[in-house]
Amino acid sequence: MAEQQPMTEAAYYILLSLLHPGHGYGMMQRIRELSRGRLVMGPGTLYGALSRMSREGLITLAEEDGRRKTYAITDQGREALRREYERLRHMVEDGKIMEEAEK
Amino acid sequence: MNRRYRLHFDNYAIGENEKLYSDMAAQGWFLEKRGSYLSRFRRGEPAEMRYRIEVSAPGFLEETDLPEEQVAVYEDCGWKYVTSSGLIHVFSSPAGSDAPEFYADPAQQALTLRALRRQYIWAWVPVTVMLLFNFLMAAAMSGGMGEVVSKWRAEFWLGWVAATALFLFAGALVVWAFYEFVHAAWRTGRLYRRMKKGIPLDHNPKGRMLLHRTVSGVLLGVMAVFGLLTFWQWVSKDTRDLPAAADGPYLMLADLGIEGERSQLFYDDRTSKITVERSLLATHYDVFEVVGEGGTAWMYQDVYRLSPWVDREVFIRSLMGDATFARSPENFREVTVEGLEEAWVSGGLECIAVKGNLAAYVTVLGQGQENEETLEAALCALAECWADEENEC
Repeated sequence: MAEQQPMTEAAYYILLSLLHPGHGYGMMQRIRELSRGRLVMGPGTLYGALSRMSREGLITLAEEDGRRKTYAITDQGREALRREYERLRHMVEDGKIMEEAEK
Repeated sequence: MNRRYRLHFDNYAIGENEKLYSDMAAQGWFLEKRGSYLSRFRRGEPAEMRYRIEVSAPGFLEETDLPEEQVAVYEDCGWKYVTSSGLIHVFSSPAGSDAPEFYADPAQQALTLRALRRQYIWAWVPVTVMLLFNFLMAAAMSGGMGEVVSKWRAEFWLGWVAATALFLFAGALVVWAFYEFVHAAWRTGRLYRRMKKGIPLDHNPKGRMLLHRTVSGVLLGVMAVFGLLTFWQWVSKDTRDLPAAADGPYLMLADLGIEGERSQLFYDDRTSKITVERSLLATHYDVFEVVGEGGTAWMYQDVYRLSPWVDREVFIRSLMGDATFARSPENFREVTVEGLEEAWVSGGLECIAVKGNLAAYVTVLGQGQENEETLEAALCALAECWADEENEC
């Protein structure tokens, strides 16, 4: 139980989508594409995650055009994404024994 | 008539409100503005619409508005911003549109209810603080909490007898407010816990909260009845100059052997007046008479013709507790007066008389004679005047 809290799915995909700066609606579409339609993020979820992640310094405001804001990932965000990706990759690799067991 | 108003559900009933707005749109009435209790609708072509409510969750004392950016994100997704009222913000979208729900995860949406929950839980704080402050101030000024409590109790019982309808109105108001607050806090808490557990918000609830609306409606009805009765009693309250001879169960200074021209008090402009008011439990004669140059003699009387429902012991103790100078039942001494069932005097200034359904509190200041004697004269005069059937003195 002493594990570090894994990143939420929403945060993971938001960071992925922000590898290229983007704004709210564009991010939602991009996340849907990235997840091949599996993850449909509501605007409430997205907005909540954006404000939390920018407080935590994972993303930053890149541009502000009227009330539309464009976000970009920070170095800290990139680092967190990389760590999460490694963690997930290890988990998937470790899970391969399941396939062997089923052979 | 291109506009219509309707009572909407309270803020915690998110799904019920959403459904209300959808149902209205299907009948051609589109939400235009949401107020505290009423929503305003504008006529249009009937349409199937989805309405969704976002609850803002500002920190303590922060603005309740949704951030502009949040609204922009929602609008980009196909939701049109309609109106706001406090923490409640309403969006709409045609029923067939692909505008996604605000939240896919109910647990996340639950977090938006935090400010709403806090609002209900803290709603009672200002009133409580005010009452407490009031109580402590009164205690500090009168030298003790016990004294304040007994004073308040006396005032409460006298008020209950003299203004029963007003008290019932206020009672119904307090019960209604308390019920609404407890119900709202409970409903919000329940919704929060369910959503935390992953149960999604029901955007199309079947129930119309009939039980709650009935309870609330009955309480409001009781309030309306007693409010109107209070108003009517207040309007029919009869204040006039004191007649030359008593026309009710009260005394004149002349009955105590105090003669003189009617005048006014030297320290204010009060003249001789009588007010007769009826409540559900009593008829109250509030009588003030003043005679002599500069108001050298005066008498103040509170005479009650009580209904059988009034507990006499409690009422007498309340008269004593509310007495201007004695301030407490301990300061009254019982005396025997022929023709009265009970008689009490205090400090040579005040007396209380009781017989049958009549009770009187009298403060009198005579001229040139010992006040104890004046009080005795007043009690005897009351006994005499209450002896005859008409009870007119």
